[in-house]
Amino acid sequence: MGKKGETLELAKAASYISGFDEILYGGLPEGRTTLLEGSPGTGKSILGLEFLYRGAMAGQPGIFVTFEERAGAVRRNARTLGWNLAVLEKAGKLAVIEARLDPQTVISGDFSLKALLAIIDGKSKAAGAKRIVFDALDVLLQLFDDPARERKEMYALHEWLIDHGMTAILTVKAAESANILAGYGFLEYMADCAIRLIQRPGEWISTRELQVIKYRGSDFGRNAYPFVIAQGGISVIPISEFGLQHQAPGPHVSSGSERLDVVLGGGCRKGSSILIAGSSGTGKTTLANTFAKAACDRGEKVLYLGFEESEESMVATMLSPGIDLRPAVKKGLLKVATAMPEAYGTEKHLLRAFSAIDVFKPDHAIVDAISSFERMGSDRAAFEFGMRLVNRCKDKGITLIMTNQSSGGADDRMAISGLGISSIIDTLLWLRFVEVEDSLKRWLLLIKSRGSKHSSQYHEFLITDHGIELSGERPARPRRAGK
Amino acid sequence: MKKPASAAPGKGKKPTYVLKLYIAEGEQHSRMARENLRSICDEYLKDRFRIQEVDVLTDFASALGDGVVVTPTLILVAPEPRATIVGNLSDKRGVISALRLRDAHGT
Repeated sequence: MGKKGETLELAKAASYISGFDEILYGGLPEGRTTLLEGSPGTGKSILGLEFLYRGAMAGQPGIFVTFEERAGAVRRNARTLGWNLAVLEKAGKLAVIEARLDPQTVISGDFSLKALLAIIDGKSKAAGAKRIVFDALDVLLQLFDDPARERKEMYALHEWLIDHGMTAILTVKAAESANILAGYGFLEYMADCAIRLIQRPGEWISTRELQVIKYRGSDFGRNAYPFVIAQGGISVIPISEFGLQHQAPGPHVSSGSERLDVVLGGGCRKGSSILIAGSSGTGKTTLANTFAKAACDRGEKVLYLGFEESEESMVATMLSPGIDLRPAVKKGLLKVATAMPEAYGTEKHLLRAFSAIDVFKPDHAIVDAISSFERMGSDRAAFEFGMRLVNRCKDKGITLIMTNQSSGGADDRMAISGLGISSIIDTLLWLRFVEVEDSLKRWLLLIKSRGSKHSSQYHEFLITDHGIELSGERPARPRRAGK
Repeated sequence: MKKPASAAPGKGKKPTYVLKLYIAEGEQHSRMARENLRSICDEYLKDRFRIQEVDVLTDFASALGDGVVVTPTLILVAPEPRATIVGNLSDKRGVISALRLRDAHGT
């Protein structure tokens, strides 16, 4: 299609992985090699396997060469994600080749990878496969305890792949701490595309990110994009620069509680995203509506997206803690839009939310509760909905308050992590019940607040008939109940 | 050159070694491995060995079945237990030890 002679558009092989091709501006470089690096557990094998799985489903056969895991383990892992490899293998669309060297193997003198290449050659010809993944190439490289030979063999492999027009992914473990390829830097140079998977652990929040480091001959999205591994596979959100970047924080607005404003370091930032996590009955909706009421009293517009109960029921429930939302609704400052999560698919829910935002033009939005997003189909759908909503609100400078319900106990961390969207959340509040002597008390902890000085201590949180009240700081962390 | 009967007290007939050598025809390492293995076997096993040579370029399925990734690869099939050696077998001492040939040589 090149107008002037030889300039050809770079051919790309679609991965068919949700969001991934958008970041890659179409897909992986076709007939070339992509390096996929990351610490153990970052999802390299899954990404590689999904590339082949989705390709095979789309009629493009592939070969998965595993140097570390047993073929049976690969199939089992796939099954937990909902992929049935056996069917594809039977149909000749996918081959899993176990290329693990017996650890007892004795090395005596030089050798080459000719056997591996012969196997791949035979298998790929038989299946007509043009997609291949070498999983845990670092394990193979350990065979060559000489860097020069290591390089020589890898270049030979690379050459072979290119000669055979294979679109390849090589996964390599990066050093745990630094995310730098220990001694395998030449692979990054050799490959046409290099992608890094990162897992950021934290006390409360663990997030996964994907970043394209280089892509010879093509532009690509340059952010570290959040992703999740959920039922069905990987989902990357090609979120806008704006959504991920630290933007200039908006002016402070009151949360509706003076004490909470102090805890938050002066109130909430306009345009920021706030997540309120906690188990049922801890007061998440009450806290969110305290904010809504205060905003409407200032004449600002609030959009309430409810997924738990009807408008009437929600407004009525708020009367008992003394939050009367009726005047705000009447004045048109508070718009309540409710829907059952099961009613539509994620796209339709998003469309409804976006059009409500576009039409109503709110200053702030409340989503109650993102935990119900999971009922839109899957945790993956929930992640996508959450991410895109946060992104849209950030783009428009709308403050977004989301509640997330945990069932208490072991999955609290999951709830706090907020479906994997926490990397783009600015403020994270956790509400919980703590047993003190014979009574159940509510506690509030500010886990994270980007860009402001804030209290990182527990506060007692009271729901009275005239709104919420917060006590002073507690110097010590309360003992965990039931641990 | 008769072997002394006292070499392996308690044992009866010495076993025949069954070896499988995976090569890539035309490759130098493979050629070397073939020669090195020959000379070791001739020296240590005389006629008590059988070498089955497999060319990965024409029979990749066997390589896949045996989990052979590199050439040359030597597999000791019998006597048990199985042992695997990769490389051109230039490290004679290592090969002898991996194949447990010290006893076979007799003393």
